Amino acid sequence: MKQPTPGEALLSIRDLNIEIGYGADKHYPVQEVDLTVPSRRVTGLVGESGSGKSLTALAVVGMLPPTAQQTSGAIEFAGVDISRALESELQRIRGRQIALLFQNPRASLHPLKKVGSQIAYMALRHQHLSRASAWTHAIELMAAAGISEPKARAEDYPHQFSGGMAQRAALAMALACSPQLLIADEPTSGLDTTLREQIVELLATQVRDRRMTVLLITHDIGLVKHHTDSVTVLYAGRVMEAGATRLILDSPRNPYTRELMRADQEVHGARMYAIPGNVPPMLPRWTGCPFSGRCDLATNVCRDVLPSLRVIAGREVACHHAD
Amino acid sequence: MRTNASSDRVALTVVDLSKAFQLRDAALRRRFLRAVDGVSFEVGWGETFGIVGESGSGKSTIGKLLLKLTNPTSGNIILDGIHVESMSERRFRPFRKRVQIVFQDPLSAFDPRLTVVDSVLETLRLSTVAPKDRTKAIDDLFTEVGLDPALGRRYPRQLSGGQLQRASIARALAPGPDIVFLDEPTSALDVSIRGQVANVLRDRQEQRRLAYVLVAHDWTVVEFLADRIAIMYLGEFVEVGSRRQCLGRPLHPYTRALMTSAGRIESSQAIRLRGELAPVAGEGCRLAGRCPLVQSRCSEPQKLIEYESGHWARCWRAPEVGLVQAIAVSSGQGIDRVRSPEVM
Repeated sequence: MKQPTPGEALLSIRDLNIEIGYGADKHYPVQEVDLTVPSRRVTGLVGESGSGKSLTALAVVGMLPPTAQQTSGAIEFAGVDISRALESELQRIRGRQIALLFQNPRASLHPLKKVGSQIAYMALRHQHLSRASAWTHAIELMAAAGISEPKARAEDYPHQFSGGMAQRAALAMALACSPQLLIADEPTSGLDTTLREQIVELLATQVRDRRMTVLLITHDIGLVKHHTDSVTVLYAGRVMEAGATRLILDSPRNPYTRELMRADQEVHGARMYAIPGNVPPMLPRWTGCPFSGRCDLATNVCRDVLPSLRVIAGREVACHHAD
Repeated sequence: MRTNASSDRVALTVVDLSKAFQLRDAALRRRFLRAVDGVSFEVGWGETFGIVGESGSGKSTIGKLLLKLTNPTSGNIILDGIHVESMSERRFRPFRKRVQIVFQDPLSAFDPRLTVVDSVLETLRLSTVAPKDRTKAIDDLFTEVGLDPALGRRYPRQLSGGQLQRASIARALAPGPDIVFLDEPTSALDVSIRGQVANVLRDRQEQRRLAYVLVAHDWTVVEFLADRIAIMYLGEFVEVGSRRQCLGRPLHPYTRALMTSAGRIESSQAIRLRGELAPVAGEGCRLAGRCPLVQSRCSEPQKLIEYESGHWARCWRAPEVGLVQAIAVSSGQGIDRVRSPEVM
């Protein structure tokens, strides 16, 4: 494995396709997705529910649900294609080189095991430390994750942790092996707004201190704006726009990105802005622009021809009408 | 008499409402959790009262009390001039249709084995609509919330989140309520369709002069729907005022902190809290352990104090936080009135 220099791609996904179901029930939640995560940077993956963002992340670590099938695509991590890796190879990568942090921290913690030993287990399993030093390591990690009195709290069980503390513990577990890449899937969605800030700040400092790379999956545009360097916007399984965060949020060129930002903020007197229509729950294989049914600018070409990603104004955009 | 509500007889008055839960710790010692502690407010016809706070602040307990799913430990709930807090279930029955609720997650709020129409029928039966007119009434309700009536024949799982939340508004409206408790009505929805539901709620309110009690943590939705806002922390209102007052000049450090974390405040005025919400003992300010402005005087009991007309805050440092002067202090021993003392 070669180590990319900062800014070079640590993770690169090309033409990822995922299918779910069989026969007439078959649908296509991820279609031709490209995603680049530069080393030592925070990359955002934004989309609404059903946009395919979580499945994309799960595909990276080979943890797709049994009903979902990756039909094509290359996933290159530190220069090696891991999309066809064996489970035993993936087991060495997961946790040690790529760690995951999920929305519901309690679901990532074993309810019957002490929090400290769950964190220590990561170090035992992947770094072959002795029991005693793994335990000390766990306590250090809990302290780094902002858990006060880590020595005492390490002896506690997950139900004794509040939501915010449990997310800190889950973060400590994710950091246990100093992974190169942290995939954080909606890490703050289940938390109160006052805690969101704290957790994201913590994530940011840890990433800096440990020279990590982060893929932040979220629907929260505010989070993307303040904490990511680059962003990929997904809609209904396809990439709509990708590039530097500042560029995209300052002047979105894909109508969907623009509409999403309006819906996030805009109130006009007696009307709150909403994008008309809904994301279809079961995605067909798109033959035109997936957003054409809800887009003001849509013309016949949008409905009939799939827009491919083009470089416009310094970022990639999939829209026939972007300029 | 001066009131905060917009018309003479208010739809809902809540006076000094408290609910304590008895808990037992591991050693079976009894302790009480005051989930709602001396809360007072009024909601006029066609008005929305918004309650904002973190989870565990007691917002949902207020909802349970209003719907009489649980009885208050003390205090009064007055619906359209009638005291209902100590009514038996039997006597309260006729009031059930007058107070309805819209839940946060529409998918778990519908019976998965009933079609959407059948679920709406359950509450429509409470109304005066004659059985033969019910089908038409449901079609009208669906049209009112912007749903194709044909969708009603589907099961909840076959609708999108936004469609189902509109169906759940239709269900709440079916018995012809006066008051609707909105428990995070848009939190489970995607940003792109959140506005659809918020707009429907606002339109129905204007047309039917509904009183809303809205619990939310999304400031955009609170700003859009609420006429007056209370900010709640550990069972108490720490700030109450009009939308303009609370959003334009937040007086309590907690309000500022919530707005800071939502990115709604300039960085020069930002307040960041430490730690997270946890029950506290003692008579002083309940936020003291997390507040960056804490001083020794914060260990004294804090009363709601009026700083601008109708704008109250429970913090002695509010004058510094909001650059205002106190104009009235709440009366009573630990009893705070939302209305100013001279009219009580």
